[in-house]
Amino acid sequence: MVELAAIGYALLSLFVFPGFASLFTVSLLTEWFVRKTVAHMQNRMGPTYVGPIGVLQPFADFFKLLLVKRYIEQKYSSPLLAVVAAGIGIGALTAGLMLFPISPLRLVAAYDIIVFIYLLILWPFISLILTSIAWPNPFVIGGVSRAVALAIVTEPTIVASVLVPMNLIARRYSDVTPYSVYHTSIAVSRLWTDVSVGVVRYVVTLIILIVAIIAMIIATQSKVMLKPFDIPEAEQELIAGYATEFSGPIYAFFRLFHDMKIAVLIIAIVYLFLGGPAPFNHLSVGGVITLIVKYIVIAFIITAIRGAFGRFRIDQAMTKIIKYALVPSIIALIISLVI
Amino acid sequence: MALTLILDPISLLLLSSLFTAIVLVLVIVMFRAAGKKEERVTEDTIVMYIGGEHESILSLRFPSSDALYWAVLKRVFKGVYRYLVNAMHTGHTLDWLKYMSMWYGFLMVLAILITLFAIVYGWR
Amino acid sequence: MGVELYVHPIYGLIPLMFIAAAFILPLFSFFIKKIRFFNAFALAITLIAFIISALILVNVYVYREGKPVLYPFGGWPPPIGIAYEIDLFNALFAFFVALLALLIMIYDTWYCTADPKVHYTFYVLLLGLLGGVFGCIYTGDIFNLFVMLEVMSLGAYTLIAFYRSNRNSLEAALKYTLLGAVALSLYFVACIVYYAAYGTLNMADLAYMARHKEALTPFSGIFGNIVVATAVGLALTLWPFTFKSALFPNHFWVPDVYMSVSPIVAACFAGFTEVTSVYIVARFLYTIFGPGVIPGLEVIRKVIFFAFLILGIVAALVGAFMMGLQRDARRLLAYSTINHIGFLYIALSIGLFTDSIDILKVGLMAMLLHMINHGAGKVALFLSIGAIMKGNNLRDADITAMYGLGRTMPIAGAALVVAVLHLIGLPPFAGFFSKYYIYQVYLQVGQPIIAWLIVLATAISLMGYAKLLIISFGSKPIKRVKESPASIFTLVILMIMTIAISIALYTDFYNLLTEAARAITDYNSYVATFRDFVYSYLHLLRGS
Repeated sequence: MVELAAIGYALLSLFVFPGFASLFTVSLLTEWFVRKTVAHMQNRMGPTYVGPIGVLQPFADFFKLLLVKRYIEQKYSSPLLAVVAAGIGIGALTAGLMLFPISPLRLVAAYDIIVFIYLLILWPFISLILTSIAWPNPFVIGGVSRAVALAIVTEPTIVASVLVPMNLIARRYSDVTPYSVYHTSIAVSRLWTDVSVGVVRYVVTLIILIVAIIAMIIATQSKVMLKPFDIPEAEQELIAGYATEFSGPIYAFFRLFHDMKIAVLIIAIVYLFLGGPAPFNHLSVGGVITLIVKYIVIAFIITAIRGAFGRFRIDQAMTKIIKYALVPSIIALIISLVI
Repeated sequence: MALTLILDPISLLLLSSLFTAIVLVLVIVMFRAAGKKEERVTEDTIVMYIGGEHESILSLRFPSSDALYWAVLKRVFKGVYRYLVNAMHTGHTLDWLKYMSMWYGFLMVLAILITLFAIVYGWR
Repeated sequence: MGVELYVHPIYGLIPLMFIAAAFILPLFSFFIKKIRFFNAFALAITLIAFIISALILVNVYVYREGKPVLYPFGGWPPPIGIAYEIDLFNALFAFFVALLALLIMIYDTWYCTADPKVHYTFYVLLLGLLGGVFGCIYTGDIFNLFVMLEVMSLGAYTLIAFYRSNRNSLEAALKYTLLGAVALSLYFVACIVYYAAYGTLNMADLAYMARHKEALTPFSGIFGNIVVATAVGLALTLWPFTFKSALFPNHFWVPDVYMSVSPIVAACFAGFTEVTSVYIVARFLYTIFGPGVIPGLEVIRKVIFFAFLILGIVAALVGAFMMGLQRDARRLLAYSTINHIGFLYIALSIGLFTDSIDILKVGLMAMLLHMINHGAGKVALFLSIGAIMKGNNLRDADITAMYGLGRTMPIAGAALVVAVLHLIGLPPFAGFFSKYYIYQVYLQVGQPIIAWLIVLATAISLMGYAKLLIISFGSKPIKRVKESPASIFTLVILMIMTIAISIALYTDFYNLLTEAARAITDYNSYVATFRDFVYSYLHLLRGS
């Protein structure tokens, strides 16, 4: 009986909430939010006509690309590889969401931060490379190599930033399972509010948590390749970089994958650094509203950065990430070891 | 209300790989059901898009595997590579010996220090 | 349940068989000229060795429940005679080495016909190399270890120089040989020092005496102070083995060697010859001079672990950085090997932070699993690049020239991709699990910085691996090249292994690995087998 319940929960979590359907919806809504906000920053209207205030525009784009447009095969292309790679990326992101408390079926293990890193960070990166290489083209190779170069500094930053709250919790609260995504999401609100450790320690904890959040946001910006880090798809230089040869349904899945990456990384920030729906429960009205408000705040910060900057050169981008994100997050990690 | 499964890491990984594979199958099914290939096959749709040039231009210049990263890395990791390539991995055996004997010297210094401590403090 | 079960000639058979076969082979060359015969002969011997190593593993794991087994050569009781002592770590590691050797030999049934320069002496040397490797793994005597290392190294030196008209081969062989000979001579001096201080050359005997100083016999102690002698001996021992296993800064020979040899030899080197030395270092630092030694030696141990940790991290980073700028695929794989050996030494150094068996068990299990994973992945990479080079008649493995050639030989191209993803450590390939356990064990002892440094080294090495991936997918007009069944078989088996190990970890294999790791720290049963044999031998003496 309990196996049937477990399978039921698994199907629910995988396909409905927060599985494929919900993630699909949330990520496309996030894309609408980004487009609308950037448009207003640039004194334009943004999506307006499809659905109320243009909310359904990304959905219309997706379905048009999938159902109406056709993909163009090239002499050296392999559409199956592109779809498989995009599917693996989407699957890894969907399955990775089950590590968080948002999911009805939660998968927890000690030290599952490592599973988080590989599922949510490394597999999407590899699937990006493989999807692009499926349609070979010199511009694609140029875009992919820039993406790889950027990932070399982004991935360690994300890991170091995520390790900061986990390390603090592991050292301070021994009743919590160490380095687990689920337990950290539940316990991180104690880090923000627990003043009983002494004034100095509390202030330093706040500082390093804020530094880690800032480093994580910069790294997220680079990972989802929004300005100022959208170098791999730089127009004028590389036609469209790694996305040069995408068309039709392939492009639909690729954009879906891209939006899902943004949504999942924002959810990760909200849960791992800000505590999710704290101080409320998940199922209460206050909890849901807090969750949505935190999500929108982080999405707004990312969008504001996207709208305010131009595009960096690749070496500028790498040095700036090293200077403003990687080094601060390492320092925060080292301080979290001694505080 | 929610079901929390506490697993060991291997089961967790195999389970999440299984879920990834299920969503992958879903994506492939969506693609196969809805995705259509461009039927009209003309010359300009089956070649690569190289900014409108013909493909034979590629025989002239091709991004070598060096060009992929070297231009970027040279600027960013300049100091690291200058030391690694020019000072350490020169290919001269004598340079190797310098580094190898540093490690060997460390071990020997350790041995000598322990000997001295043994003589002085009478470790037996 | 007497002497028979844990003493049996089968335990000492494999190295002798290889060496005997290596000496018999030239006699055949007088009347058989076809190279396929020599390859078949070597394949048969390797197959027999594989079966025997599987039998030994089953015997140790199932019938002896993990306790070591012993074989005294010539019946001479150790410590007077040489004994092979096989515990679960040895048996499991040797089984995987035999499996990799068998797969490489099967691949060679095709390669020997495709390579115009091969000669029957190649098989003589290859059998010598394998005999030496198995001798090093199984032995329980430190001087026999020296002898077997010499056997292995002689084969290795000559195999590197086999293509003697190639300038690079000669240069690489010269450099490796000179330094390797010096290294082994130093190890010989170390054996002298150990013998003078302890009075014995047997590993189990040394393990006992390092922990119970009062057990020093009247035959030992010419140099009296075993702390001094062990310090000098360890210094003289560890340098040669870190040279053989290519730990930074002894790694300079690796790229030259890997670039200029036949893919068979490169696969042998990367698959098992280097990691054998890592195993020997683990044997010295965990069984012989392991947790529980007298306090003077404990200090030496901790300092050496600290040094290995630093060197392992630097090796991983240097390998990762240098990988990104190689033009030749085989040099890239050489630096990738340096990277992974760095990870092995990081896993080995867990003894710095803890002496608790539970954590050491997981750390050494991660090291053993990483040895197996790295062997499978690297062998697959070298063999598939060899196949692509030979199929397309390339003289060297220039990545730009090989752009897109993975499509000419689909199985080799697929094996390339799978092995690269496996070595990067992507789940669900098995390479993820060994890195996972290394991360876990370092997070458990409270060192997230080291776990993060491993992530950094992996991220930097992505540059080099991405270059290899480009070989498989490219944009050249392709012409399918026929792949031989032998090469298809080997590469498919290796690809299956990368997934099969993941799935097997879910079953009893995890317990097997953990028990093996516990066995290498468990000096009690190691010594007990040795002591039981000596007592039962003494019982047989007249008048006792």
